[in-house]
Amino acid sequence: MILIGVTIVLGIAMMAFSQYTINGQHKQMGENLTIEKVQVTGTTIKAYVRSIGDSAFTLSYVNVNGKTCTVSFESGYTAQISANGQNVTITGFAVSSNYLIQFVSTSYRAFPIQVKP
Amino acid sequence: MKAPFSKLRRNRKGGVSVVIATIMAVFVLMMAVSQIYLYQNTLTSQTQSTLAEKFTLTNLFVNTTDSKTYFTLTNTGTVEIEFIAIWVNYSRTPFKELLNPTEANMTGLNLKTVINDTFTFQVETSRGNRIIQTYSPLPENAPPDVQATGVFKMSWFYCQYTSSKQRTKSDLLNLSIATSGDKYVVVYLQLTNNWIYPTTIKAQSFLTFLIYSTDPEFYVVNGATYPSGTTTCTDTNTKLTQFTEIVVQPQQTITLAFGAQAPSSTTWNWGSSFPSSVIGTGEGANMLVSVFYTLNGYSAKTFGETLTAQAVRLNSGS
Repeated sequence: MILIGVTIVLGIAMMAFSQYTINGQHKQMGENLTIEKVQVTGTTIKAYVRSIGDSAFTLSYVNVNGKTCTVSFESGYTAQISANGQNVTITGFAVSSNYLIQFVSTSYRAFPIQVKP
Repeated sequence: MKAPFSKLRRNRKGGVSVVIATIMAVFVLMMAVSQIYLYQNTLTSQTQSTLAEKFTLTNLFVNTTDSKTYFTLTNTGTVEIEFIAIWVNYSRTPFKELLNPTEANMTGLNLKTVINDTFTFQVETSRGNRIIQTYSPLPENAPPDVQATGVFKMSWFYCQYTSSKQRTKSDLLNLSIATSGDKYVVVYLQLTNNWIYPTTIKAQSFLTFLIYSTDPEFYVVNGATYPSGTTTCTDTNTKLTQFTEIVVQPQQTITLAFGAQAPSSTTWNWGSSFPSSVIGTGEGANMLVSVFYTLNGYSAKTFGETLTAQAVRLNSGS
């Protein structure tokens, strides 16, 4: 009897864990971001990004040429990228003639774009 | 392997729990795999839709008569496309348009408050696909066929000398200047805007006959105006009015009139002194037309194009 109970509990625990894992996988697989426009002006990069995935895209950080930069959002917008699109302002990068910008989600999915100002 | 099964045969409860655990483990595994598989299928189908989304952007031009940017979008793919935004340089304008496969639509939008010479035009779809086109209305960037034929295409020309003459076409070869009574000489020619952008022909445009080395030059005029309802003109009622400019829309054909300006004068009236040698009366008379034009609203820059024509006697018997 105890063995059956333990088995059921373990089964439920396994199912919960698998669901958690599946949801995590779903979130990562469903994330998608389109970078509509990037404008480099001096030491500021302004990018217009839009979440086009099946699940919400939450921006964790932005890398410019391998360096994590400061990201700021317009009033009314957050790191959870809007499906209608929003501006993201990036500062704190080294000025260069060529930029590799990577938008990385909280589930570590990266969306790169190369820009020549 | 024999010992556990023999134990299970003796321990029925333990055996049942192992069976339940196995079923549950298999169920969990199947669920996990199937869910990931199904979701992967959904995503694959989305990716395939994104890849199948194909479209073209053509006929992009800014029409200054209504200040709208016109463009034609054509769905050349196999899935429905939802367009959601247009970028002009770094300015984004929401744009809603649904196009089924093979469908095309021409749209005119008020996108620009200041019309620049060149700008980047970008159309975005809901799936994240885009087309970027640089709009450059300069003739040197025109398509090869326009560069080969020129912005303007001349289809015909003829001369008409006015005053006391009927308003009928006079073949250049058959033109004879009357010794008296004639006051004005006008050359008409038909031009077609061969390009996709509207142009404005300026008053500086002129025409010369290469047979005649000095004045007069024929300047573009608004044509000879006649009293309405009459077919015969007299010295007093025939007028040549000063040309300002004319807008020629893409593929539009217009008739331009070039009037011979009297020497040392700003009038068009030659009296009876118009030299017949100005216009070649024989086969092979060469005419040269310099058309000056601007591209509507883009810049103050004036472009020029030279058109040449030669009179040919079509009827060998005459």
